[in-house]
Amino acid sequence: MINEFYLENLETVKRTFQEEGQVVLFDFFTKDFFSLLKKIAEKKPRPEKDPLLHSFSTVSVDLPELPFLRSLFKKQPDFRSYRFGWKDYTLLHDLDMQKPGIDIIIDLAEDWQEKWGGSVYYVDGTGNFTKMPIKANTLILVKRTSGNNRFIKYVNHLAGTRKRSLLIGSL
Amino acid sequence: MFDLSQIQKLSEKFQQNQPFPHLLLHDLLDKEEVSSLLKALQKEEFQLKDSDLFTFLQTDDLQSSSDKAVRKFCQFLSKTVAPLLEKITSVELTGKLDLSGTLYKNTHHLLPHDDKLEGRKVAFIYYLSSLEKKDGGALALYSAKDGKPLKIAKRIQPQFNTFIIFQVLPESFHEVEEVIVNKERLAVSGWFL
Repeated sequence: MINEFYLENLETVKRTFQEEGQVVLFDFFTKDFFSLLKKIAEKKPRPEKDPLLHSFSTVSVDLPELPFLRSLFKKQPDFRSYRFGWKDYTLLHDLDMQKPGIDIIIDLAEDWQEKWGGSVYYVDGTGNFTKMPIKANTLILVKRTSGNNRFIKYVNHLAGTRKRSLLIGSL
Repeated sequence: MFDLSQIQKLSEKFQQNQPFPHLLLHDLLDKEEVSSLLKALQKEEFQLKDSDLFTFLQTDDLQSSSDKAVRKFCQFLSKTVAPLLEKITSVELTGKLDLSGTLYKNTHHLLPHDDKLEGRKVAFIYYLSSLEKKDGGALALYSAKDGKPLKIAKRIQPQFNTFIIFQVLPESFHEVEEVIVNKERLAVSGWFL
C-alpha cells in the first residue's frame, strides 16, 4: 500500500511532524495503490463557487483504511476529492478560517506545471508563505495552528483544460 | 474642466450605473500630458505582488516619485479631479490620495474583493493601455445580495486615457480578470480618501 521506506521510518516521520509542524513524503504509495486512489478520485465532482472564498469542483470520497494515518493520528479523516481547473482558486478569508487541526493532502496531479498555478500554500499569520511542492503521489501533512492557514493559488489559462487533482482530509 | 450642466449629467449617470455607482471619463488628459505620464511611468520600478488574491506588478506610492510628470499628475488628481468628483459622487473627499502604478502581464489577475479599508471613499483606475475582450484584463463588477457577490454584472475593458471611478461601498465587489495574452495592462490606480 505504501512505500516500505516510510513504514521503516515511521518514528522519524512522527518526530519530524511534531518538530516541524509539516512533512512532505514523496513517492508515498505503491504504484498499484496510487492508481487505485486516482480511480477513486475520478468520482464526478460538483462545482462550488463563492467568489470571495473559492471556486473548485469537489466530491466526498471513501478511501480504503490507511494504517499509516491511524498509527500517526489514531484516526483517519473523511477525504474529499478536489479538482482545480482554469479560473479556480481558494482565498484566505476571515469568514472561512479553519479551526486548528491537521491537513492531510494527497497530490494526484501528474505532469502538472507550477506555472499553471494551483500550488498549495500555507501562511503563518505574519506574512510568511510556505509553498508545497507539486508532485504526484506525494503525501503532505500540515499542522494548522490559529494563524496557519491554507490557500490554493488561482489556476491560470496556461493550464488549458487540465485539472489539478487533490485528495484532502482534515482532522 | 466641466460646466455645471455636464456635472449634473455625469452625476446622474454615476448614480444610475449598475451594479453599483461608477463612471467612465474618456480622454482625461491631452495627448502631450498622457504621453509624458506614460514615459515617466515606464521609468518607475514595478515589483511583483503575489498572494492568494492577486498576481501583478506595482510601483511604490507614486506621490513619492521624483519624476515631474508623475508629481504633476498626482497634483491634478488631488487639486482638480477630487473637487469635481465630490460634486459628481456627493461623497466628501479630503483631497488626499493613495495611488500606484499597476502592470498586469500574461496570467496576472486580481480576484473578487470589495476594496473596503479605512479612509477609502472613491476608487479609480486610469488606463494607460487598451485591451480587447479576447485579451482578458477586464474590470469585472459584481451584482450583490445580502452583502455577498452574486455574479459578474458588467465588464469594462481597459481603454487608453480613460478614467474609471466607483464608490467604495460594502457591496462594490469587483475583480481584474486574468490577462490571457502577451499584452500589458498598464494603469495608475488607487483611491480618493
